[in-house]
Amino acid sequence: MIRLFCFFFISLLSFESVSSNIIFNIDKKEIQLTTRFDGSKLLVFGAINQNNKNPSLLIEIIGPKRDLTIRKKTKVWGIWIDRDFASFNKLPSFYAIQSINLSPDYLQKIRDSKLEKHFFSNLYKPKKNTDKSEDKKYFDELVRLYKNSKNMSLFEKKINIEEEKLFFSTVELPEKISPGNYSVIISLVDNKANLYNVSEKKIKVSKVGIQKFLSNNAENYSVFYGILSVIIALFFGFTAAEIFRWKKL
Amino acid sequence: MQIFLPIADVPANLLVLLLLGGGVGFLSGVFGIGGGFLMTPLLIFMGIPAAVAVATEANQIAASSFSGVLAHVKRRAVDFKMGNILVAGGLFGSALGVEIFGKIKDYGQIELFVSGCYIVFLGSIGSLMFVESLSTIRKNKNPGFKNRERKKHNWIHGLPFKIRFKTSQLYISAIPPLILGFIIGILASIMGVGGGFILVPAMIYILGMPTKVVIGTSLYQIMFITAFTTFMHAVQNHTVDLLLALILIVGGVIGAQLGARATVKLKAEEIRILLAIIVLLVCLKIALDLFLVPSDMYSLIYSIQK
Repeated sequence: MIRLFCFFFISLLSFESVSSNIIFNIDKKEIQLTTRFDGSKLLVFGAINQNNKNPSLLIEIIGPKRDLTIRKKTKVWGIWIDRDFASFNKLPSFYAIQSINLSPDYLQKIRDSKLEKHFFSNLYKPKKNTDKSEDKKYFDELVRLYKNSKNMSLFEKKINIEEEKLFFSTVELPEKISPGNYSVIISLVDNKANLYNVSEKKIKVSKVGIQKFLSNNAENYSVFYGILSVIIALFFGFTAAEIFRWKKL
Repeated sequence: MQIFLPIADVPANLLVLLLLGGGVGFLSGVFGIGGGFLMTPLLIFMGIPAAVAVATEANQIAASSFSGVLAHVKRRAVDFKMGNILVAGGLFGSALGVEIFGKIKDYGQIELFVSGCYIVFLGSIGSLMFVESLSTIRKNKNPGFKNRERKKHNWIHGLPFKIRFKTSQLYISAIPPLILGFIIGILASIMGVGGGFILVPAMIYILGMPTKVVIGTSLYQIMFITAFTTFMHAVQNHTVDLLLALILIVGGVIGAQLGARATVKLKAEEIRILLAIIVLLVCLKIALDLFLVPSDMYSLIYSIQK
């Protein structure tokens, strides 16, 4: 079924960029975060125009960037409190990378350089002289927590390739994702583990309906939002009192 | 059914939230309490951030206390003059509380602060209730046992700025109700409670108000203070989750009515002990979370994008 779907879409893709060796598309251009949103599955599919029999391919999905703090609990006077922390500026809120036809050595190399580029280089130290091993510990825990919340997946899934040219893969987005622009980046990998023919498409993830109304107003029109909260509470209180008074009569 | 709470920024089960609202509402109907001191910790246990739980619960209490105050106004059981003085003190307390709350939230220790406040209050209130209802049960078994007489005149009557309260048939200084209101305002804003569990005994034993106007007047003050607190939290800390509040309000209203009807069938002292045990259990759970080795030493906190 997925295969059929891919063929259909690939046939619709414009071959205007013939010089490029990759064309691809995603089954969704935008994702709406409603109150009922419980995750989403992206289908990434395309074709490679090259003679290599076993093309090495990478798919990366990078979520919108947010500032983040990782906190560590420490025992102080018998109770556990969040005392030590490390802050990161502009970390991708979601990160997934998938591959095909890459050796474990290359995967490790790419993994390290990607994590360095997107995550570790963004460490912002409140204190200047924290030692390196401490930083490493925070990085490892950061990756673990990202994976736990399904916001990171590192080569856990393989891209499917058909007839050496067509490829497709699915990417799972968890129920709690940040709104913003998600980049889907596809690149070929040469035999020195260098990326080439990098092409990118964006998916817009945005809150809609009640989600949008409430978060937008709470953040930008907080006075209006505060008054609205009070009015709604009083309205419900009044209605409840009236209903139950009437029922008692 | 899973729904996503927009401000709390966490998914939660709609049915569980409705049952939670209904359950706490039921208890509040049975015991005549607001239920904020149970609801806020339960929301935190469910994974809702403490800052959102506190502010949202204030919003729910505004709804339930307004519904209660309307019933008491009809029965002429509200001392408006006393209520207004309590509100005046409460507004200052609430504004100060929200300010403190925001500072501690920015500092990143709001969970610890809220937990600490809850352990102190739930621990002391729970133990007091437990001991008191035990002694009442004992007293009922020995009819000879005499209760302490309420003092008619105490140090309160020596203070200046005396005002006549017609409904309460009192002539006392405005200072004690102002201070009392102030304290309740702080509690409402940092703990997400109405404060009835302190306000009611204080009105009876410290101010010497007649019991028949106490509940209505305390609801009157709680309604204004929680409404104001909700507004302040919304403006200063952006932590009121209206969707969550709505679900809790609906569950709470239904539960409270069922609870009020169930009261007749239960013995007063026994349910008081039950409530004391629930309060102590919640307190114990909060304390354990602080003292036991956490399951995860690390946690991620997103900062709000500027």
